[in-house]
Amino acid sequence: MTLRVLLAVAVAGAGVGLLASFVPVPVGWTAWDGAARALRLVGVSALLGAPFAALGVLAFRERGRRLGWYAVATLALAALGLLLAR
Amino acid sequence: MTALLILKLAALGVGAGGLGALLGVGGGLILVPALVFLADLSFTHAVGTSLVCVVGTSVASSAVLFSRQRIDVSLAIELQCFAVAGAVTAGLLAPFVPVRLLYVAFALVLLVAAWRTVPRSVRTAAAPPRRGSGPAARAGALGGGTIASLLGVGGGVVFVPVLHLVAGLDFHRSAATSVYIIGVTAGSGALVYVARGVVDLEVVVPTMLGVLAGATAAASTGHRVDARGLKIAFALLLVYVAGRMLWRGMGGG
Repeated sequence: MTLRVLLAVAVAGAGVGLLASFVPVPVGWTAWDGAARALRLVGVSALLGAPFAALGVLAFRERGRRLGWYAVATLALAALGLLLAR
Repeated sequence: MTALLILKLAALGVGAGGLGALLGVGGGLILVPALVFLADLSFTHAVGTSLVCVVGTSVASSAVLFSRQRIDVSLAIELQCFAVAGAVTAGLLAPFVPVRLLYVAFALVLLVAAWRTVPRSVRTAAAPPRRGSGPAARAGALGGGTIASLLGVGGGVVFVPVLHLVAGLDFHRSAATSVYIIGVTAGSGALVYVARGVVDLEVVVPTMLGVLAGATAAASTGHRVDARGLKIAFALLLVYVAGRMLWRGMGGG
């Protein structure tokens, strides 16, 4: 239930953020331009973060159990991969 | 960016997201060449942009598939761990691996998987028995994560055969579980590309909106599509990928 809600919220948030970034920018409104860029970033970040957040939720919900350890190990390996790639 | 290009990218996203959600692959095989052609992106930018969209396919479909209980969560979490371990191993092995030879070997594996995936009403062979997780499935996920990362292919073409032929899940469940798994494997890759600044957000936005719509629609209606047709479509996709791998392995670029 929690996972489904988390993923659905990420999709809805990203969808709204990405759609809002299409709102036409009035000429000279640099602040609005910045806001549109921020909305894009938030939308994409919500999607990129969602699978990892889901793993985090699973790790917490299944803590102390086999599945929870797999979720923790996957998160640690993903972080290691990111560090090695950089 | 013109309105026409925005519409084209959104339509591309709908197609790639829909197909990705139906077949359990991310859709990168469609997105990368199309983004190079349509949006005039470099190959590296197209791969980074495509990876971000593949995560969109995974998240949007998983949100629907979770509610329909189509995902084998415990198997997905376990195999996901081995797949990510494989991808990290690939990063360490990359300088020492004869990639051309690997292309040819992997193409042959994909052709065997394509043959085994075709339903038995088309050829005579026993359906795989339900085995769930085990050493073979774990080794498949580890090897799949390594090879997929080394050769730059999406994990779906590896995970669906592993889940269907090795773990013995039915095809719809294999595709659903695979599309959930690739969220983390593609996400790990996408974060690297984002950190390196080779993701074009201008292109991501319309494509991603299409991907979210296509993947949500396909995940909602996918259970009505005949598994036999899906298997044949997936086998054809494997043959296509194998052909491209062989071409590269033989030095065709």
